[in-house]
Amino acid sequence: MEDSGNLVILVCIGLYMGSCIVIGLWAMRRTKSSSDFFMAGRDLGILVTSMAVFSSTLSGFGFVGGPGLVYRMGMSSLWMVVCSSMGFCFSFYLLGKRLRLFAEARNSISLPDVVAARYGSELSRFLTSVAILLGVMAYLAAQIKAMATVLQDLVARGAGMGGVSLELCVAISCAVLVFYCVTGGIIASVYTDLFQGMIMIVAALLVFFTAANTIQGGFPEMSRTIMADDPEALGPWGTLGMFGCLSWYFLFALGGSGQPHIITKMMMNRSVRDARFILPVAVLGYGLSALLWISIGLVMRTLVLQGKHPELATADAAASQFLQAYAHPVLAGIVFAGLFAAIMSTADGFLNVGSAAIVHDIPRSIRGTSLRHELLWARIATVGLAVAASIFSLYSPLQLVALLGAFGWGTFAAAMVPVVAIGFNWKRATAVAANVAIISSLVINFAILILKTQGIYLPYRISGGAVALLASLVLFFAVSYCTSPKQLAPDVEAIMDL
Amino acid sequence: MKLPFILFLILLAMSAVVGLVLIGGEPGDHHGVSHPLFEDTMQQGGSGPERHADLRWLGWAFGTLQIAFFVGCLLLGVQQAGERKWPYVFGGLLYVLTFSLLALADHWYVRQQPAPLILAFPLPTALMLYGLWGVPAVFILLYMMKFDRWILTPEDLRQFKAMLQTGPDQETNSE
Repeated sequence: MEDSGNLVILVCIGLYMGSCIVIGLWAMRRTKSSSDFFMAGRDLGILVTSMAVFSSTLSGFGFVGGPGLVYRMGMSSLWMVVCSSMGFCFSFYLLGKRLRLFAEARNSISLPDVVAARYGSELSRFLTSVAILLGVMAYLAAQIKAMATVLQDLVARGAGMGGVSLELCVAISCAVLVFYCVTGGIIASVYTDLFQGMIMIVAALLVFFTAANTIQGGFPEMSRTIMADDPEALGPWGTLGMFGCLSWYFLFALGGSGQPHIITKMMMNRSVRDARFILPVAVLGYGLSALLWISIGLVMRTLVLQGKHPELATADAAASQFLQAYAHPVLAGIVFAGLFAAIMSTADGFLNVGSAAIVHDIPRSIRGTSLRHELLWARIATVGLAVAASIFSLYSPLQLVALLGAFGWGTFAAAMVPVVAIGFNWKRATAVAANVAIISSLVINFAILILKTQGIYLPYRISGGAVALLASLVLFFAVSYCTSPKQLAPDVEAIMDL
Repeated sequence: MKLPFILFLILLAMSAVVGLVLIGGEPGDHHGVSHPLFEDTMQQGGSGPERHADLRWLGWAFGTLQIAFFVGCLLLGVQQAGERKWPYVFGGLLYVLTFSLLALADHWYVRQQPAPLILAFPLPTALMLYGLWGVPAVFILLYMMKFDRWILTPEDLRQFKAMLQTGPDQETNSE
């Protein structure tokens, strides 16, 4: 792409970031208390909540890592996509009603708040907060690294700009993110999510049709080319194989209901009855955005196999190479803005739940009360968390940051799915079982992370996160059956009977 | 037998399947090999159709148990699930049928090259993309249409609001 093309992309990203800042300023006027900062006053409409839920689910991984995996492995990674319809159902059936009612009954402003209410245990609140904080740090660092790397690459290729340091790119991208999160809290976060979700859908649809027209014969021709090279790559299991794919299906279908930055948004809608409309809109939005994941990976694999495009330097370069070589600069600009939107819409949720854990939940579990001037401390914690994650992302080995991204999702899934998704719908579940499930998820995920850093993987590349999730679910049920449940508080029992 | 206990049994069965696979180990390059021409960035499917030969039944069992667990969990969120289970049972059976057809079609797919395309993809892949992605629409529709009767009735909501106004005892049993 010409230098002028890269300038167009940078202008689009600049416009996008400017819009996020404007939304942050607008949201600041509506943020008057810590309840507004963490829960948006529980006054969000259907469209805003739907878009916030789906755009938080599809992080930058869906725009960079996803197409890269399709390029590398064929259809394997699509198991992470096709599970989404079931995954959203799982989240809404089990949590859409209960989380919202718990939040209203107890005036809760965070996930550990409702966990403490459900189990009547401050230890459960503390462990939930620690799991959230560890997961947030890991995941946030990966998101910041991805955002800065893309920005550095784009600026380096911009007209006459030369190279810029990764540190500067981290500073620029984090400054925008932190600005709107600090000023407007979750209100800014969800309204930027709405804006970001729309950009993601538009970008994905445009890319899908561009990709289909890049190859004469469209998607059927892509299939024929890939199949002629390796039938397995276009089969349902891709190159990874059956068990690897099914372990992803398990982890990602269930795991969404354990991601705190996603499910806390189910506590913020205006009316609990809105959940019935939020579910289909979120599924539709995710499905449309995922078209980018599928189409770029397939078209780039086809072009390379046909010899019409040189081999990529890395599989993750599939999206940027496609946009540079085959998309109109304005489309490329929209998609890159969509990429930043995908990353930021996930990262802002992390900042919000992470700062709630620091200033609200951990102090409450230790001292029995939250910090004084909670809103001020929440803003300070948001900045501190972003700075810590930025430093971590800058000075850790690249491979470790990527592994920590996967660790974050796996930890959230294994720790939270039993405790929240199952435990909020089963009165027999006990606090001891919840604590055991959280601790086991941390231990198993850490062990798997250490093995991966040594280059040791499970047979058939079965996902370590899936094994950790399965183990924590089994332990949760087993320990619940082996221990006596405590008497539930009357309001908790009443909600669980609804 | 109560639903949570059934879910626990399903999880134990899944653990047994995964345990068998982990203990058995991976005999060869079943998770893919480097592409001979683009070895740094692209993979191929390893040892061909043989790589799934010994695993197909275990894989089918793992997938089917997952679906049973997913659908069973949905019923945890439905009021009076015992009386309202049938639409979910039928939805679950449709889900299992789609997955089973996918596994079966995949068995023949690699042996019958070039495979015919259905909506741009070979049959087993089309079943994954359009079938497995699409079948949960049944549960989405049920959630939308039956929310007021099966998930949270207006009477329940009135009770909840009344409970909030009367100020229930909110003392928790903190550890």
